[in-house]
Amino acid sequence: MKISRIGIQNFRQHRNIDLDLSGERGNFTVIRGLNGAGKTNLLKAITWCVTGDLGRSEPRHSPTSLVSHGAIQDTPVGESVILTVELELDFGQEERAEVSRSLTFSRAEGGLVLGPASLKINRHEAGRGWQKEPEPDLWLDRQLPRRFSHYFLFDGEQLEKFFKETEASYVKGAVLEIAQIDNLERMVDRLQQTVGDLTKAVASQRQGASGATLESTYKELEAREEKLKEDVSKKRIEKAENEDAIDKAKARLGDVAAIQSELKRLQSLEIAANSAHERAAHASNDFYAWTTSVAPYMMMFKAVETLEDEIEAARVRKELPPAYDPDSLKELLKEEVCVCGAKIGKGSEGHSHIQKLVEDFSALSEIGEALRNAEGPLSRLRGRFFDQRDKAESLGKTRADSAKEAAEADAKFNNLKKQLAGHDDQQIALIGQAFEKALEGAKSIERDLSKIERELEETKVARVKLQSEIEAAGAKDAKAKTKLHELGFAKEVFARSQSLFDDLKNQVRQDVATNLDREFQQMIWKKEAFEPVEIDEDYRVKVINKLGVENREGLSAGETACLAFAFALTLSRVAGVRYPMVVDSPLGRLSGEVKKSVAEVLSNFLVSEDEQESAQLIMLVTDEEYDESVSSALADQRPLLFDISFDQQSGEATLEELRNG
Amino acid sequence: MAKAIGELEAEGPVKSCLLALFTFELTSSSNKNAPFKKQYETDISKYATGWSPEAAES
Repeated sequence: MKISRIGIQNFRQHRNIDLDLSGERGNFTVIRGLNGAGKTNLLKAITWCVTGDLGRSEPRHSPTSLVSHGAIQDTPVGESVILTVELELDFGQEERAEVSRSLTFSRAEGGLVLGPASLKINRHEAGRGWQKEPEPDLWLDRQLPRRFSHYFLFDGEQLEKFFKETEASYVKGAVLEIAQIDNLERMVDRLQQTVGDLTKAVASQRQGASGATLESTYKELEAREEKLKEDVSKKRIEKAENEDAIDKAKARLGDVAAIQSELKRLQSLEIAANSAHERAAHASNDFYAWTTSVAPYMMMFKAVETLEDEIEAARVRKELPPAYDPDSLKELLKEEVCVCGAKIGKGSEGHSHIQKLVEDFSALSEIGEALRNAEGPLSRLRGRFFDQRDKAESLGKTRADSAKEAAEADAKFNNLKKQLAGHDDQQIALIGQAFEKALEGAKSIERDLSKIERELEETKVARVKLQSEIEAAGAKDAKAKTKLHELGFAKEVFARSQSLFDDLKNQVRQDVATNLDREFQQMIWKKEAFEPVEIDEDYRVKVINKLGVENREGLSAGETACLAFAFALTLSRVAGVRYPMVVDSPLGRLSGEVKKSVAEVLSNFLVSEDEQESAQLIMLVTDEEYDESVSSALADQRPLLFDISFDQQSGEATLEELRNG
Repeated sequence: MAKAIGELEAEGPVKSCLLALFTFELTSSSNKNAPFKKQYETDISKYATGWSPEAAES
């Protein structure tokens, strides 16, 4: 089955849409547009046409919320606005149907007044031409069953939630529903009720008090059994909720462990920051201590420099002897040889000159001697000064470094402290208590459940025993004969239906699990990371990793989305009918390789060699979803590509086919 | 489902009754007010006439 045309008039922002999806290319359509362009409302329009409602993302709506604002504005008061969604369905071999659902409103002063709603279906069959379907609701529900429309008309972004929130009960419901075994389950229940009714009827055939007692005792047992069944069911829900609470508390405890470790880290950071501050303080003290101790040297150095300058100036002024030793000059005179090797005999000019120097220096010899004596200490003083200057540089650096280190340690500490604000010991203790309480609750629920189940079993045994007594009593009564025969037959039909249900239920569960595993393994990026996906007897989906550990809760968001998508595809396959699939944002939550893998699986979904009926997929996507990798993964399928856009002025969405898409 | 019922190892009236009841469930699944009790009584009564407990035991 495929949708070969979609026509929409006045449905929200879709004033006038006519999409021709006939021919083979219509099997795969991509409608691409920005958020708010009208993609989701296109899905809702199709869902509304098929089911009369808007699907799970909008479970309640008022009819007036469906009408295009533009259409309301353009309609004068007193005139009608008609909202219509039409789908043309193609079943192959000239069998077609035109489905048209519409609502009529009249424009009044105060708003819209809802008029008639209609669903019209015209069917075309080979050799019979077009005919009006007399029971459109019934026919449509048979072709595209309303109760599992959400498995082929769905919002991809809701998939994860749609899969997780209802857990095992949802999986069970979906599996039984899609294989139509839920009808069989209801039949089994009703047959059991019929067996009870017939048993009471047989008892009531007995004359007098004995018959009345049997009937009333049976009724009591039956009522008790019913009550206990309800209690069991309530307890099971309580158990599931408590298990959720345990899981949540476990997760919070995990968070607590992380917080505690962070709190420890905070303590270490505090210690580190304090120690850094201490080091900085020491460095600072050292620096100031040096400043104090070096001050005299500083002053003396300055004095030495001044003195040296003055000595130099005095030498220039020849007020002080040059820095020559007068004894060595005397030695030159005695040897009569200059330092350059020239002869300076007595009477020579050189000899006279040095003689004069010695005489001049003699007048200053006292000062020269004092200066010579001062030069040693002055030099040492200069050395001490340079030593202190180096130490000053080192101390200054240490002081700056340790101040920086302290500031960094402070920042780290304050940052983590800010992150951990509100996580106090009391709160952590409360989480621990909640976990303990949930564990305690689990034990108590388990005890209560076993008790009620035991009681239920005992009541059941008593009822069956009484049923045999009633049957035995009825056998002696000719009047009860017919009812007794019907009771025997009903029991037989009940037993057969029960065993058929058990067999099919397990078969379908296995079948869904096998398909689910195949779809999931194809989609995920980490190939070979998981053992085959299982659905256990309680309909819990189990994803076991290669270490043999059940790890569904540990799947990444992308992997969970893949699992949910695989589940939706599986249900579609297991239904045995290739319903046209319309998916909004199928790749919205996925990224990179996962997105490409899912796109490839979607592509495979369209190609089915083992089924005669072709599949149809309509994808409503944003540009980000339909990127290069997705486009190339789906290129072989040559999709019909449309751009959907929204004109703010007219409030209308328009669709444009991209021919070379 | 019809195939599964057909393949059951059960007497004809049991299979016919199962099929009739299943069809009824299928067609009235969306109708909460369908007369289930009456339909079950009628079908059990109808198909029980062609059934014997001995056949079931054998």
